[in-house]
Amino acid sequence: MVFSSLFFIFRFLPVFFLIYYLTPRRYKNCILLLGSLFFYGYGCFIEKFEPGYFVYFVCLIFINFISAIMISMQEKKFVRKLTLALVMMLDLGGLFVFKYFDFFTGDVLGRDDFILGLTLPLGISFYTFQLISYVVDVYRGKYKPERHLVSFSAYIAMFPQLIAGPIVKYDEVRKKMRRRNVTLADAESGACLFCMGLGSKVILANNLYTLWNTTTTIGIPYMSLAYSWLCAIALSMYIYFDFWGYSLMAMGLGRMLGFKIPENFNAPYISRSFTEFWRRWHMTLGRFFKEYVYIPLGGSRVSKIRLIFNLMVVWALTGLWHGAAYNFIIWGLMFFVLLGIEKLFMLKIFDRVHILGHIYTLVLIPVSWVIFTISDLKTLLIYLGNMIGIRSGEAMTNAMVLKDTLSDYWWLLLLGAVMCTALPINLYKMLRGKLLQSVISFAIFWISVYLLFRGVDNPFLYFRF
Amino acid sequence: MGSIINFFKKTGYVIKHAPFLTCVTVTSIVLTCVTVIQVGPENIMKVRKTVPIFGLLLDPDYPDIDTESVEYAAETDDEIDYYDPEEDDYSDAVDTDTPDTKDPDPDDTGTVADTQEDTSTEDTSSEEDDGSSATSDDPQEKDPSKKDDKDDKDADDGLVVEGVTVYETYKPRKAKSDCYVDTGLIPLTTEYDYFTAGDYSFFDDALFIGDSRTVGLQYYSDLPDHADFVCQTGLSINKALTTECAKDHKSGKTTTGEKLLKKKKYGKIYLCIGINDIGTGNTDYIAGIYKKLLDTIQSYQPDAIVFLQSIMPVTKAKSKADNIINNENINAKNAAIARFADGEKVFYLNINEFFTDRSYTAHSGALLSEQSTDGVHIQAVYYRQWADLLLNYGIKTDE
Repeated sequence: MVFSSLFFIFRFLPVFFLIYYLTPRRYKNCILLLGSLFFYGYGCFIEKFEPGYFVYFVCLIFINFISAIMISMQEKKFVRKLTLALVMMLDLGGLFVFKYFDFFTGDVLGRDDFILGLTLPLGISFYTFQLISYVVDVYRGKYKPERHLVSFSAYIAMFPQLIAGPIVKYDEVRKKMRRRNVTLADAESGACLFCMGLGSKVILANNLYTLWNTTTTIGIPYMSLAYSWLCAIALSMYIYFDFWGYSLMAMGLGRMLGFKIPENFNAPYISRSFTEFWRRWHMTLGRFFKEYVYIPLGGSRVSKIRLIFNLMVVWALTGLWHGAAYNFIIWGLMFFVLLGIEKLFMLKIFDRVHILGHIYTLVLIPVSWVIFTISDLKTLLIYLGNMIGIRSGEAMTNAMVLKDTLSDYWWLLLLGAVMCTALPINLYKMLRGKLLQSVISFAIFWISVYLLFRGVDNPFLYFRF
Repeated sequence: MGSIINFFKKTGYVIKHAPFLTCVTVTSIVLTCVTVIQVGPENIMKVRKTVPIFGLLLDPDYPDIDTESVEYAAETDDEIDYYDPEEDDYSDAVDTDTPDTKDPDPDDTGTVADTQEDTSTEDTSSEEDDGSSATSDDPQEKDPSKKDDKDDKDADDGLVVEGVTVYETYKPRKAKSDCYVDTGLIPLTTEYDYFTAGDYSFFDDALFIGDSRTVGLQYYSDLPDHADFVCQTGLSINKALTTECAKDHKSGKTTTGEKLLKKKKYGKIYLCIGINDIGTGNTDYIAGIYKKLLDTIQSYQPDAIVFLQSIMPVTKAKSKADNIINNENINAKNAAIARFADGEKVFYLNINEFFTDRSYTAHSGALLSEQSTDGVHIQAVYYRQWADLLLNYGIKTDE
């Protein structure tokens, strides 16, 4: 079940929140857990029939819960370490089997007979990371483990962040898990935030996707230089609005539940460098890799060669986390190279001449998303070639095609460009609690719902021929 | 009394502090109520399986797939099996269901010149007037094809009758949605002694009407230098002539197809439309609106030759994954469209045979995956081939 579906908005949400708000405070976590398990189970039993993944999810939560308590109760360092190692092996092993095994055997080793053909369990990348952060933090003694299975399960399974993040750390919700007040104002502003995310996903992202999708219609070899840039820009906006919208919806739902889910994006496309970009893009993932990979490896207080190695590991893993294919590794290592160069000398230049930094990031962002999206390396090379004018096929998108596309999409690209800045989030903060915000949210809500409805009504709307 | 005042106070508090939530809740409830009143409570789940709230936003002309197709199925054959998701293997599921398409040869993919009489009349009885339906009422054509079922195409070629549209048959499959019943028919290009035109000046008096596939033809072939286009991505049959998407290639002005048809005189009109509609109703419905479009065109351009180009299929992967946009459905629609070819003014062109594999019959199947990345459209370069092959279908006229 995705947030931007009519079933979720008109069936799940009203029923769940009605029960949730009417339940006395001490049972709210129970209701949250049950609702979340229904949310997850709906994906595992009804949308697709994969009951094993549901069992895996529940078992994993239970094992991590028990092992965290065991770690905190053990005095001996060796046993603590062993327990941590075992539970991490289990968590990461599961992730590896489901996500990377086929890539590893099929593509890296070239053994076709070892392919499992498993589909990816819903949200596994996110909940695995949350579990790891929790167990490691308990091991490090940052906080005592949760002793209530319901509270802990509700934290991991909490439906707003279950499927697509943000990766919430336990200390961010620990207090609220024990005791939280949901005020009417919270519910209202959370709902408005949800609407903002919904609009970002449905109005902007879905429509931008149709523009990007024309690349597959035309055939990548036949795209001209200008057209391939146009599509790459549309793609960059699509990815941002899709993910940002989802994170906003998660934040909004979290607030409606009485939690404070951390921000995941902070207008990344206005960055002056990729160093800054990664401080603004998918912030909770960056934080995870920093705290649980980069710093344990020694952080920046090591020799230069070791530092380069550390950064390379972090970026290769960041790339791999996004998907199991070579292009994701290339994508991750691209940031390793860029960030390295920036650290060497470019940041100093960009600090002096801001505009140079903006141009540099804005040009390379579309390139990075093209690498991110096209997993077939040959096609990827053709696309990148088109973007710099090295052609392998005849360019068939002439001026007329470009003009028609622009006249169809100019408003979307313009709106998208404005929404990529920090304006929307500032506006939200400025209008928070005011009547105008409710009016805007109301409009966004019904426009989005109408578009969703049309998409259901006519299955071709997002993919019309 | 006090409790009532208290209630209003509380409501006022909620409205003041959560105006957005209040408004959304109220509008949702109101919309739901309006819908329930409009369609009646007993039909509410039937109309929109997704969200009943929006019944009132529905297009009144929108066909109700559920009820129509039930009638449709009853009309054709009660025993027709609809696609059962649990019985995913549908390759061997059907062979006795459609009674008239039974093929004596179990290998089933032979090219059998099949008369329209044989199969598709029952399913699509609404368009039964003799003039416009397919032309094989001719007894001469009917007999040999029935006798020589196992003969290959060479034998049939000897019996070609000008202006006749013949069908290939294949073993029908289970339908995956209510929008269609697989008829097991693939219409072939109307038999005729076409001449081959030398160059693109052939298209100087041509008009192309269609959806995104025709848009591709407009963008990636040299046709727009000669012909006019009425095309838009997502164009549906009903709106084909009223949408502002017609381009007069000489003046470059944008207008509607209807105005263009009124203003200019065309010698040839190429239609390639229908894929955007195939999920909006059953085959009868699509055939009906297609005929309406054809009639409108002919009323403006009585002398023009109208080429009904086949709806291009999708790739195998796309066809398998989609319950509506799949090749069985497209074949069913094509079979219905081809019946409008009369061999005098209206011709059916099976362009599919140039862009498809041979997965159904000798001539038509699924779109070749190496020619299409998205599974639906051929890649840019292939539109030239399409334009070129239209040169092969010239009709001699007296003028």
